[in-house]
Amino acid sequence: MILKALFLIAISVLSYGCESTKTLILSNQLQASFASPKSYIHTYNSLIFKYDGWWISHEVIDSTRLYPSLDLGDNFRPFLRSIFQPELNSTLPENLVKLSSEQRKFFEIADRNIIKKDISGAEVLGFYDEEKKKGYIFVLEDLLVHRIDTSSNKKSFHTLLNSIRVR
Amino acid sequence: MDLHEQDDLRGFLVSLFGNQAQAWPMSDKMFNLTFELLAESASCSSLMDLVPRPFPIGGQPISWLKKEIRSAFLRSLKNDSSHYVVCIRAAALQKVREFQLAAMGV
Repeated sequence: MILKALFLIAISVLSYGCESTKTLILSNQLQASFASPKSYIHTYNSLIFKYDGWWISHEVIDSTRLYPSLDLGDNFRPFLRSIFQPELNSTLPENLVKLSSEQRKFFEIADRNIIKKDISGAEVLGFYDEEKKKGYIFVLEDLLVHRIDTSSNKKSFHTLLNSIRVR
Repeated sequence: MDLHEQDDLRGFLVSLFGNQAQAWPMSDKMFNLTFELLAESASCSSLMDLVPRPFPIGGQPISWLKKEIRSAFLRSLKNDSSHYVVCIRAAALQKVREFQLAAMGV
């Protein structure tokens, strides 16, 4: 009887564990894991996972979707990189150099909070703003660029960041 | 906001965020977020000159601005949208999720 009860508890805990972590397939190469949200919100172009008082969002972006009023064309990827590494902006036209610097300022990116990773050839750029409790991650794959935002504490941001891995 | 004000606000938000803003309800929350976005961008200061100061901390812009000032504010946004889109583009990238969540009533 006791063994049966312990078995049932173990099964419940394991089931709970499975339900509390969800997998988001980002592409045929990558995936991310996140805690089970209170609700999922699908907007025009993004998916938002809503929790009590915080959220995570995912969007696939391209040269026309970062700034809907501006097509970045072939400068899209160099522009994204230049937000994190201003020294890489030499190939950009002057108006994009200015915008990149402005974006860096609005994001409040400082060298100390920049995250750079390589996941099997995918370039991950991100940072966390402790004051605003917001984090931004850009994942540059060969064919897709992902934008993942969080409005969360630092621990949740890093848990999400570290969950991005090869499938 | 009356219908003219809602149209002015929608026109500006479509210029800024693209077609997704067509489907957004032009609510008080949407006005407040737009106001905050402009207030955070120092290069949009000419528009903020319309707003009486000091703005109360924690106050709701929609209730703080008298109707005439609010209408003039929205009219300026609509009439000079290309200028204002450029000056708040970087700030808007950061706040787009807040607009999307407000649009979904969350």
